[in-house]
Amino acid sequence: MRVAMVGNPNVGKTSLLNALTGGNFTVANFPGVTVEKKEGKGVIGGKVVTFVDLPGIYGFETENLDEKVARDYIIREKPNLILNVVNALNLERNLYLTLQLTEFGVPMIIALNMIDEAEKEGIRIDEERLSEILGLPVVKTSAVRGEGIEELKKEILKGGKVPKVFRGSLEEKIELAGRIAREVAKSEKVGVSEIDEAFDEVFMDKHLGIPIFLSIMWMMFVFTYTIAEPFNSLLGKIFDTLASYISGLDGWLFSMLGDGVVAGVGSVLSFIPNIAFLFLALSILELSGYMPRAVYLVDGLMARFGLNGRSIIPLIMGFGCNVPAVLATRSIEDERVRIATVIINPFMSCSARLPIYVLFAGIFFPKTGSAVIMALYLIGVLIALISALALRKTLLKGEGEFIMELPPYMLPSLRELWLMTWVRTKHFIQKAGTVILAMSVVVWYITNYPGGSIESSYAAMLGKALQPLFSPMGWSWELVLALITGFVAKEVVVATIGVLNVDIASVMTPHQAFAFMLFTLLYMPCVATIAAIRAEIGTKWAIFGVLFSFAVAYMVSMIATEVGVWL
Amino acid sequence: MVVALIFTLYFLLLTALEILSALYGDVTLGWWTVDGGSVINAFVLGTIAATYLKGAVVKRESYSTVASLLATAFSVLMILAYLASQSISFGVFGFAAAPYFLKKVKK
Repeated sequence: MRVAMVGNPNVGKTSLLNALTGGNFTVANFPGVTVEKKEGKGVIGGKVVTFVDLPGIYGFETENLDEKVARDYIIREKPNLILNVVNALNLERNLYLTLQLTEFGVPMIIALNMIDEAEKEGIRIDEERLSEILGLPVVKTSAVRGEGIEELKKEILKGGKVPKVFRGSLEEKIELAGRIAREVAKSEKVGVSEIDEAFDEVFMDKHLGIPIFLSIMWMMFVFTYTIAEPFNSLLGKIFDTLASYISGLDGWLFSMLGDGVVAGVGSVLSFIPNIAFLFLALSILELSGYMPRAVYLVDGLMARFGLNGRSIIPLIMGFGCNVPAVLATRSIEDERVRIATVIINPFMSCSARLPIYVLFAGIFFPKTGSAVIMALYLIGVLIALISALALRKTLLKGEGEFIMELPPYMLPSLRELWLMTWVRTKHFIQKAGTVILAMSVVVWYITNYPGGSIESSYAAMLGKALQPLFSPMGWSWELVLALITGFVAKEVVVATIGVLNVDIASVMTPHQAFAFMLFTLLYMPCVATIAAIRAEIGTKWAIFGVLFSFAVAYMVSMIATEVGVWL
Repeated sequence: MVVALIFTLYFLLLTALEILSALYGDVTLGWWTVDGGSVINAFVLGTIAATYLKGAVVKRESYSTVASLLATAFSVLMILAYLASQSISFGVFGFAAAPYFLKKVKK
C-alpha cells in the first residue's frame, strides 16, 4: 500500500512520517529533479505501508516545481491513499489545498495535525462535522506528542474514502474553504497565546533580538565542542588502540585494515559526539519554533547583503550539510537571490569540517578552542555575506521581496529530538562507512606504494608536485595531500592526516594552523555539494562556484598567514 | 520589577567578574576559584543582564521570564562544560534565576 502525504509547508508532515514509520525513512530526490523525497515504510496491522512525503505546497495553480512534482506524483504514481496533513492552527488556508486534492479522485484521509497547539490557542474543531462536509475520515493528531497516531493507523488500514469533488474557480474555492473553516472551528480566545506573545516580544526585540540570537549560537558551540569533547577523546583512544593492535599483526591486509581502514575511518568516527551534539542543538532550535524567529530577525540584515530572510534557512542548514542546504534554497522565490544563496552556501561551515577544527583547535588552541571554532564559523558567515553582496551588485542585480509565517513555540518531545538527531547523524556514519572507508583505503594505498615508505609513495609525488602552490602558507606536502583528498568529502582531510600519521604540532605554527583551518572552511565544496549546485543552478554556476571559493580561500588563508607572521 | 532590577545587578556583577577572569586568569571568591572566563561568556551574561534591565525599564515581565530561561540554560551548559573540561565560568551562577523561571512557567 502506498500513501502520499500532502500538505502545506510546516504542518508537521515529517514529524508525522517519523511517528508512522518510527523514523525508518530515507531521503532521496524525485526522479529527474532535485526536490527532496522522503520515503518510509511502516508496518500497520501486519501490512507494510509505504509513505511518501511530498513537498509542502499551498495549491496547484503556479508553475512552482514543488507543486508540479506533487501533482505528477499523484497522477502518474497513483498512490492508494492521500494523507492530507492539515495544520489545525490555520484550517482555512489548509482546506484550500484539501479542496483541490478532492479533484484527483484518490481516496483520502485528513490528519488534523498540531491539534494540541490549536487547543492551547483556544481553537476547537468539530472533526465529525468536517468529515461530514468533505465526505472523508478526519483524525485529530499531534505528531510531536504521538497523539492520535493509533487512530490514524486504523483509518489508513481502512483505506480512506474517495471524497466529494469540489470544483470551481480559485476564488470560489478560497471562499468555500473559509466557509467550512468558520463552520467547524470555533475560537474561544483571540490572538496568540500569552507565552508565544511573551517570547516573541523578547526574542524579536529590536535591540536585544540579535544579541540573544548570538548568545544562543554561542551556547550551541559550547555544547558541540566543549561538552562533547570527553566522548570524542574516548572514541579517539579506542580507535587508536584498535588501529595499532591490528596494524601490528603481520601482512599487508592487517596493515591496510589497521593503518588504512581503522585509522582513517576511526579518526572521522571519533567525531560522532560533536556531530550528534550539533544536530541535537539544531533540532532543538528548529522544533521549538525559535529558528523561524531567527529568520525573521535577520531579514533586515540579510536585505543589506542583497538576500532575504528565507536565505538564512539554507545558510543555517549549511552548518549541518551543504547538500540539503543547497536543495533548501528552493523555498526562495527570487531566482537571483536563490543563485546567490547557493553560491555562498559552501562558505557556511558544514559538520564535515568540524572534525578538522576540533583536531587543530585541540592541538594549537587548547584553552580557546570554542572561541576559535566560533570565529571560524563567523568568518564563514561574514565572507558568505560579503560574497552575496558582491554577486548581487554585479552578476545578479535586481530587487526581491519576502513573506513568511511564524509557527507557535513548542517544547520539543524527546522522541522527536532523538529521531531528528539520529536520522542526520546516521547519514554521517553511513558516509564514514562508504566514501570515507573507500578513500581511507585509497589513501593507504597511495601512501604505501610503490616504494613502501611515505617518502617514495604516489601520495608524496602528488603532494610534492602541488606543494609549491601552497608555499606562501608554508604547509607541508602531507597537508596539501590532505586538502586534495578532502575534495571527495571534507572529513577525509582528518582521515588522511590520521593515515599519514602526521604530527601536526611539529610541522606548523598556530597561525599556519589557523590559516589551514580557514582554507578548509572556504576552499571548493565537496563533490556531493558541487553535484547539488550543478543540478540546482546549472554547470556554469557550479564551475563559477568552485573557482570563486578556491580563489577566496587562497586569498584569505594567505592574508591570515601574513598577518600571523607580522603579529 | 524589583526582581528584574536585582537580577540586572546580579548578572552585571557576574559579567564584570567573567571579564576579569578572561583578562587576568584566575579570579578567587573565598574558596571558589574561577579559571574558565571568556569574553564571549561575558557577552552572554551581559545580554542576560540587559534583558532583565529592559524588562525593568518597560515594566514587562516577559523580559525577566526570557532572561531567566537564558540564564538557566546557560548555567546548565556551564556546569556541563565544567564537568567536561574542569574549567569553570561565572555562568554557572546563573542557576539563581532557575526558581524564578520555573515559577513563571508554572504560572
